[in-house]
Amino acid sequence: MKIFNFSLDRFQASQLFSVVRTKKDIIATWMRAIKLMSVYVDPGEGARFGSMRLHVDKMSRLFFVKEDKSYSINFPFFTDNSAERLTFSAFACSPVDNRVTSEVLSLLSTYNLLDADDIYSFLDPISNSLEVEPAIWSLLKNLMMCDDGYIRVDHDEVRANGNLHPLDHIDVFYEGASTFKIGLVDRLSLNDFADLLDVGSDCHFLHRK
Amino acid sequence: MASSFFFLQAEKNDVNKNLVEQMENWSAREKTQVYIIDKPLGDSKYSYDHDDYIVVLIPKRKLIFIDFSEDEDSFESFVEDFIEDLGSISDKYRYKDSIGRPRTWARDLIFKASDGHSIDIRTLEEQTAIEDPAKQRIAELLVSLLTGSINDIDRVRADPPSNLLDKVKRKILLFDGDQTRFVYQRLKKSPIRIQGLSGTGKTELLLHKLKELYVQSADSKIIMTCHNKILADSLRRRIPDFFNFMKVEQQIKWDERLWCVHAWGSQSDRDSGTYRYICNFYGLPFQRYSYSTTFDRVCSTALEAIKQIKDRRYAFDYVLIDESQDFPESFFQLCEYVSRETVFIAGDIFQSIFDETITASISPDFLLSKCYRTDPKTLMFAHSLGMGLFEPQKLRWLEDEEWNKCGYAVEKRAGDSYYRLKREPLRRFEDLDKENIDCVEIISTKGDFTESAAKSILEIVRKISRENPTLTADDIGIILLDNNNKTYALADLLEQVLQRETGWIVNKAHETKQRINGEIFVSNRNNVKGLEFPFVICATEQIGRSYAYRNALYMTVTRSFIKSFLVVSEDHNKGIIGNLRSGLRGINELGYIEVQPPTKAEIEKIRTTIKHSNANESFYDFVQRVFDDLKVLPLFRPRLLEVVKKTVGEDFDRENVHRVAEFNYKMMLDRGDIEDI
Repeated sequence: MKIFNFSLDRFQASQLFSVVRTKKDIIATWMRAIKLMSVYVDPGEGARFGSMRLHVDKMSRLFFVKEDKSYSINFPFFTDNSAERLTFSAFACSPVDNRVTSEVLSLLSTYNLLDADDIYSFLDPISNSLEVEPAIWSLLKNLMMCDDGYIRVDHDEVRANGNLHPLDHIDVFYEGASTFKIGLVDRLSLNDFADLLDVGSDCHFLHRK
Repeated sequence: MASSFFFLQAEKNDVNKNLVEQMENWSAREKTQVYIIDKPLGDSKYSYDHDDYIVVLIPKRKLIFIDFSEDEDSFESFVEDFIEDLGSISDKYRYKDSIGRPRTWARDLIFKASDGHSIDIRTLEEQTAIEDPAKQRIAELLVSLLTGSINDIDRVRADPPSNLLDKVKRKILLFDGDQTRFVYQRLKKSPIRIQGLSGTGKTELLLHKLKELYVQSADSKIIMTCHNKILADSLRRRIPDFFNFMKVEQQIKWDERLWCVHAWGSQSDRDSGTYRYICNFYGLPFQRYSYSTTFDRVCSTALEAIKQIKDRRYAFDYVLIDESQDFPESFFQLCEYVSRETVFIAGDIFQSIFDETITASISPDFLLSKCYRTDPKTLMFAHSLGMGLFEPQKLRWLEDEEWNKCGYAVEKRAGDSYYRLKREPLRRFEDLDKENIDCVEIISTKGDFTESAAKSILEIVRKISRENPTLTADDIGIILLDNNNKTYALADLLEQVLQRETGWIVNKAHETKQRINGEIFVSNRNNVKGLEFPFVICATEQIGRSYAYRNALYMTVTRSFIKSFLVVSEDHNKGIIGNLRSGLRGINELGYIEVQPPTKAEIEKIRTTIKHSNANESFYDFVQRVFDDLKVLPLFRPRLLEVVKKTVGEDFDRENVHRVAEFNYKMMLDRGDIEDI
């Protein structure tokens, strides 16, 4: 198993912890995480506002950890740490580097691709991007179709409300229609959270309270 | 042709002829703006009963009223009325709070000559000077109101600025003679073409023209268009702000009276493009964008179809086209045919400094040679850098007439063996001249370029910020020129380190495709069109020789209006840095480009190389064309391309590439390399 840890400055923390509502947010998070890991500079003492961890094993997952909130998503890329800097690739596109991630982010944010009602508004920007990166459509398609495995651990003192909204809980899924909570009897550490999701370690069990 | 320093709106006649001509000569000699008017420009509602007078406006001087009628009472009342109207214009554009009511400025800033026959330029020069800089500034603001060059008073303010950054940012901008003529003259012809270098204010002028046309009649249909969708969108967002700013009272009736869209459009929305709207208006089938359809063909097809329609109807009254260099001629013909009144066509004098010829086939009605975005010295260096003027092998050379069109005065020395290329100084940058600021600084870095460039850029930002206490995030543009992953890695690295250092959010414009207020702009070379910053930092590892690259380099350096910094790798530019530094020193110290012209043979070689290339062509496409000539089999091409790149670098020297490709292709065929592929 390989684990890579990254401290986040306040800008990175605020970006990577912004609320996840749609698949578009997840794809943007993947892209930003790759950018950050590719040219990482430690923020230094006193400027750390959270952290990010990449687990590479049978499962490849990203963990984002802040004082009272952690979440994790699938990381559908290959990681190579043989050189000085980490590099990434995907089946559909190799490498997935700073340039490719910028292209994807631009499609998502400037052209609002995933909100396009009209097929041509979806198609035209991608067709232009193909001139820059021929693999962009395959990559984007895979990212759109990929199971993102979103799961969040909350320690929510503000909105805690008995068994309906337990102080410590896990949120599974992000869309309003599918999300639900599983209460926790106490706080989950990052290692416990990672262990919960590790397909190579023993399973965790639910006990009805 | 009238000088850009002089603008005459009042009628020239036998009575005022002598003085008007003196003023015109004086303006050219002193290189100072002079406007002669008989009513405020920009609003048609002002008119006066008095005759035989002129009003002369010269920035930083008193407003000059000269009478030739010999009816002193009537002249006095006219001046009073005029000042009252000026007071109301000042109120309309909210200048009044800053410059005060007419009674506070009229006493010191008005000069009246009731006997125009006896007045001459020398008397005017002596008697209209203003000593106090604060009053000079108010006089200048009054000139801006009377010529319709409305400035945002919250930006320029009436109090004199104290530091250099503010002096340049808060400079009161005035239209020059050419610009004023374009906006206010009503030429009875179509199309009307306006051309100039980038930064000469074409888009701004089109907006002013649009406003003039929109308020002129209540039911005209006007479309403003350009090729690129993102540019069209940003232009569309600018229009309401601009109309508000210019106090246009009429509401904007989008998609009913006014359109601002890109040229093509999409199937789903009738109002999404000029061509799309025209198809709908005339009931033609719309052809959507694809690789195999050229815009030229769809325009020609549409035009032919419309000509067949018996009842001639007009889709628009006016069409305003920006960035005309991006269009085929057929689009102009189509627009011309579907508009009732006039088509205005504004474009760059060349799309790229490497266009084969810069003399337009149809000469423009208005040629703007003065670039107001960039200090003339910066522009001179940018041209030199782009064209490789300081390098042993130049990439581009212009004919004397072409230099003139680009705003250069050509002086030849020592029997034509040296050229001195000079540009006139501009009012906007007079404060830079006074403070002796170097317009461009070259900084070379050592070691890994991504990391050393990031360090260097951070250091520059610190320095600019130390020297300019009123600096904001909007004042700096960072443009990364190379076209590889390193560029994007550098942008991502800068995002981390700049935000931490300055607290400013970094806007990576290659992702957002827009400029965002309050955020520091970082972009690759593709998103800088139409942008300007007080300070530009341009980073490139190696100063390459491809045309597309050099043109981008030239464009980037011209984005600054105080200073540009060029960050390059020392190791990769050993042969060229020394030459650039000494050329730059010449421009900074002497104020002109001094250069040895290429020999006839060299000029011929430059011309042929340019002829065979297309400045917007990628190296890949360029090489593929050579391969086509050599009939290289597709299977060999990827490998041969690699060999060519390794051997000649990304050099667009066709002869060289041809030679290397031919030799290696033969080797491959002889060795039967096909099995390895």
